[in-house]
This record gives sequence, structure tokens and C-alpha cells, in this order.
Amino acid sequence: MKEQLTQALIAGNADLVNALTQALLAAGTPAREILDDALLPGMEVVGARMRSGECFIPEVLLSARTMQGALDILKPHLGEGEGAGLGTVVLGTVEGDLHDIGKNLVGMLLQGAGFEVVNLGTGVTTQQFVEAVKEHAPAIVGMSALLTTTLPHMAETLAALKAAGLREQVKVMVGGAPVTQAFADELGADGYGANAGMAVDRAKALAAQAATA
Amino acid sequence: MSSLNATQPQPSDFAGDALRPRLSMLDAAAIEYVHEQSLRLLAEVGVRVPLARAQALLKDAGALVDDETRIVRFPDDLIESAIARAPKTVLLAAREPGKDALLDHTRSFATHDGMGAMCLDHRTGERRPSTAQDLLEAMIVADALDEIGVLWYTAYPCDEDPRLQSLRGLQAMLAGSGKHVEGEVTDPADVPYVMEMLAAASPGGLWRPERPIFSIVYCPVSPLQHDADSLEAAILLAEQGVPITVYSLALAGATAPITQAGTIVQTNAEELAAFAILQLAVPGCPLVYVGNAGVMDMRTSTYATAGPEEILLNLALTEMGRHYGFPVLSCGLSTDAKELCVQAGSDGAPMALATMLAGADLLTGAGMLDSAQLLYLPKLVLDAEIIRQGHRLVAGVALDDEHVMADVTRRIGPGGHFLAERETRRYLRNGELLMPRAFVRGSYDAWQTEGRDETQRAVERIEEILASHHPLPLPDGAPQRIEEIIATAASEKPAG
Repeated sequence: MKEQLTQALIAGNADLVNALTQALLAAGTPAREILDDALLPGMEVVGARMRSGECFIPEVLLSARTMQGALDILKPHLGEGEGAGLGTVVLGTVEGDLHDIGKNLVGMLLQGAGFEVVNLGTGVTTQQFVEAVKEHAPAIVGMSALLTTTLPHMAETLAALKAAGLREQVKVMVGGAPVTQAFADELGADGYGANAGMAVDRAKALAAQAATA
Repeated sequence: MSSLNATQPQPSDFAGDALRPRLSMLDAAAIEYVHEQSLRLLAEVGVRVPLARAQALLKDAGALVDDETRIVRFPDDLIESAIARAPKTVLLAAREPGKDALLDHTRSFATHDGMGAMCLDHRTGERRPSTAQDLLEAMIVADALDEIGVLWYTAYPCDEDPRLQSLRGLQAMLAGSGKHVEGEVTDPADVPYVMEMLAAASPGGLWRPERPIFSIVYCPVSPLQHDADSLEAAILLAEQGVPITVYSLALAGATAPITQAGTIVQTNAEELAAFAILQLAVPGCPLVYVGNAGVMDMRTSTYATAGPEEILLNLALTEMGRHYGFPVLSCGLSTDAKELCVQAGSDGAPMALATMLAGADLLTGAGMLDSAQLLYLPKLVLDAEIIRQGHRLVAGVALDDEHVMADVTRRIGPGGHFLAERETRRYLRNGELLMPRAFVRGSYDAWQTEGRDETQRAVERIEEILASHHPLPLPDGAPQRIEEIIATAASEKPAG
């Protein structure tokens, strides 16, 4: 049944995924095992297919959304603070910018990959980022911008995280059309993805680093 | 002989005409359908307008405004009256005499691509953030190219203080060209400085709303929303007579339905809603409808700026704008390619030609790579050649007795040639045959002997222009005055 669940997740079939998840729980399969043996491997396959060009963004997002439904079912059966396991990511589009399609896409893909995602929305101020880092203690905070005029807010947020003594405990990622690796480096960010898929890969690498640090 | 005379055709009724090819996809019923669907979207789903001033105007005009979500639902008559009220021709005036772009549906004026934040430096080959100097050079080169009619704020001056980027951009644009310049102002606090700079740059030191030398691009944010600051800045500038290009750039599949039909209807609705807001705020203000939408690349999640779907979207939307009688800007020449290559030409040229054949008044897209993110000046020179081809194509065929040249053919007779005839020379000089400037014809050997590839020739042309072309200088004292205005802005605007 776990293999069937994996395949249903890859296909983005929410009804079947929910039913199989319930059935596995009812049969006494531990939630952790359902997650580790069926759901996360399914998302791994979807991610790999996206990277190889076999699978497209809407298909990945459908699977990610389906994954989220299964996680909601599993949550009461998982231990306190025990999510999909990769940690929390706080995401937001910086102040002055309403363009958030890319950031939302990254958020959904991160969820699908097993992160808890706190999406702060658009026009997020420096102070709101700092508060969210305090509140959620994320592994990663991600900032996006489309307008070049709003890019400086990324530097301000980094400075504010430093001033609040939070910079060492969180990895910072940046993205958006005008953002480049060079800009991210200059900023002192820990990660950058040229597109949503690359951002997720980078986030996973950063989370793994943080876990072994 | 008598039998020959007997079969001679009767004189036809055709009196001769200048035949211009046109590309059209929507018939009257299809246009009406898109219009109706757009009105339904605006009446039922609505548009988020988070600006109190605009909300109040809309409420007074009969729109349903949800004070909590700030979503405005538009009654049909509000949209219809905006369509009726918006000017049908718009003048984009130039500082330099003879360089005005009058958008009156008779020709396509080409402009830059934009707006990006990166430059591929043609001198070093390095890709780096764009600077005020890059923007200035993009203006000077375009000022020298006849094919470019209007100048766009193609790349942001990333080396400048972010608070002053709009003003520094405007400074470079005004200094770099005597043609009409179209910029971007998203901060209402910039408006007074912008108007002072425009006055300083205007002949006689006075901004003349009836001859606007500057316009802006205003971008509603898809799907179906507005940014409060940008909208306020647009309204403040419209009050001063600054024309506004309403550029709603939905991405099919991401910020609009994946279908062409859905994206056409949503984009048209977004344009009409913005027209309605701006016409309520400033009745009769000059606006340009944008017939362009993009596609999200479903492998990489990036904005795809070219391809067959975008041509179809541009065609349909350009026709919608023209149906309303508005001046229309659409897109061509843009490419997702990262270098000058087959893809760059293939992305750019068909879309540019389609846009021109559809009758867009403004054609944006010259001079950039990488989905309008990367300014590359050599491409500007090569795109100018594609624009010339487009203008020649649109000029069509003059079909009449004079142009058939039957008398010349009779004179020369079988076996002669037309090369040394006065008529041949005259029509050649009148543009009957396009003479390429940047593209190569002639023999392989001659090309090889010259030993320069396409990009090298374009780079040389750019350096030649930058060394020898002098845009119309600003009025005496204007450069200093503009510098003072920016210094004042620097001291008055709060630190970032």
C-alpha cells in the first residue's frame, strides 16, 4: 500500500493519497513510517523528474499540494514539533513589492519537499521578518523581490537580523528576477536559486548543513 | 491580330491602391465575446485597488467597493464610459523638432526592451548590474538610430542610491536623447522632482502638458490588483498631463489562466480596469493600452518572453486595443536567449513582425537578452534592422498603373534589363527595395575578406555612434538645474 501511496502522490491524486494515508494509519502503520517510506520518497521522485525536465511546475505543485493534505492527516499522529523533518522556512516578499508568484511557487515546492513553510506574504517589512524569525525559529528565512528599487530591503533585513543577534541561527536565502548569485554573495546571503527548483535544492543543502553543524 | 484584340480584358474598376498587409485573428463577434467576458470578470471578480483616493472615486461612480478586501467590482457602464472618454490618439512629443511620435494608428514606433537590472558589457563581455552610464549609452545609441522612435527606461541605474534611481534614470534619458522618453515612477514622493526635472529639460524651461516629452509605464500587478504607491504616482503624473502606458503583464499559467483565451480576457480586463480608474481620476488623460502578455516557462518557473503563444496573445490583445480605438503598445524583438544566436533572432523577429502587422502603435523589445533582463547594446543595432524590415513589410505594395511600370517594360521589351532606368533609380531611392544596414548580403568571399562577424560590426557601429553622435543638448543651464533637483531630493527623501 505504501508503494501505491507513493505513486498516487507522484500522480497528484489527492483523493487517493488521502484515502491511502487514512488506511495505512488505520492499519497501524506509524505516521513517521508513512512519511519516510512513502510520501517523502514520492516527492523525491517528483523533484528529480522536474530537474530532468520530465515533469513540469504545475505537476510538481499538484503533488506538493497533495503532500500537504497528507501531512495534515498525519500531523496529529506525529510527535510534538515533528514535521516532515527538514525544518521551518520563513518566506516573504520585501517591503514595497507586490510581486510574489515566484516566492509562492518556492513556498509550495519547499512544503512538498518536507519543509514547514511560514509565508509572510508581500510587502514584508524588515521588522516583520525579524519578528517572524524570533517567533518561528526557522532554519531558513527567504526574501524575494522583483522590483530593483526594493532590493535594498534585503540588505536592511540582513542587518536587522544581525542587530537582533539572530543572524547566526538562521540561513538567509534571496531570490527574484533581478537577483543574481553575485548580488546574493555581495549581500552575504547563504543561498540563492535562479529558479524555484534550484531554490529548493539549495534550501535542502542548507538545511542539511544546519543539521550537521 | 484581330483575335488578340478580341480577347483583351475590359478595363478594370480597380483605381490603384496602396495595399498594406494586415494580420488579424478576431472577427467582430470574437471581439464582442472577449469584451463581454472581460466585463463579467470586472463585475463579478473585481480588482483590488488599495488606494483610498481611487476607491472613493470608484464608489462615487457606482462601483461596489469592499472596504475590507479593497476589491472593487466594476459596473459595465463605468468601463464603457472610460472607453469612450480615453483619447484615441496620443502624442508622445519629442524635445527635438520633427521627432514626435503621434500615436494615431498609422505607424509603429519602436522602442527599447525593459526594464532590466543587468547589462552584458559589449566592451568586456562581462555580465553585471546595469549602471546610469549604460542607460545613457542605450539612449544615445537609440537617439542615433532612425528605427527607434521612442526611448524606454530600458535598464535601471543600479549603481545609484536606490532612493534616487528613478530620478537618475530620468536624468540619463533626458540627457541622452532628444526623442520622447518613457520612464517609470513608482514613488509618489518622486513626482514633484520629476516634474521639476521635466520643466528644466523642456524648451523654454516650462513643462507643456499639450506637448508631453515624457510618459510613464504603469504596471497593474496580475492577477487583478494594483500597487497603491505606483497607482498614486501614476495619478499625480496624469494630472500633470504625463501620458501613461498601462502595462499589465500577466503570465499565462501562473498569474493568469494557462489558456490563451483566459489570459486574453484577464489582460483585457486588467487594462480596462486601469483605464477606468485613471479616467475617473483625471478625465481625458492620455493612456496607451498594452496588448501583451507573457507565459511562464513550466520547466524553470521563469518568465518566457517569446514564443508562438505570445504572438497569439499579442495579436488578440492588440486587436482588442485597436477595437476600442486606443493607441496600443505591443511587444516583439524580445528573447529568452542569453546571447546573440539563432534563438535571439527567431524569438524576436516573428513576434515583432506580427505586432507590426497587427497595427500596434508602439513596439517594445529592442536591445535586450535573457527575457528583458539583460541589456546588450549590439542587439539594439541588430534589432533596428529587424524593425526596418517590419516597416518595409507593413508599407506593403503600391498597386497602380504607375507602379506596374508597364510603359518602362514596353520601352525595354523582351530581353532587355531595368537596371539603368531612371524609374529604377527613383523607386530604389524611395525605398521600394530595403537596403540592409546591419545584415549581410553579397558574396561569401567579400564577407570573409572583411573578416568581421555580426556582433563585431554591431559593436563597431555602437562605438562609432557614441564617439560621433550628439543628441540635442538640453537647454542652457538645464543639466546643472537637474543636478540641483536631484541633490534636493537626496536631502529631502528619507534615508532608505
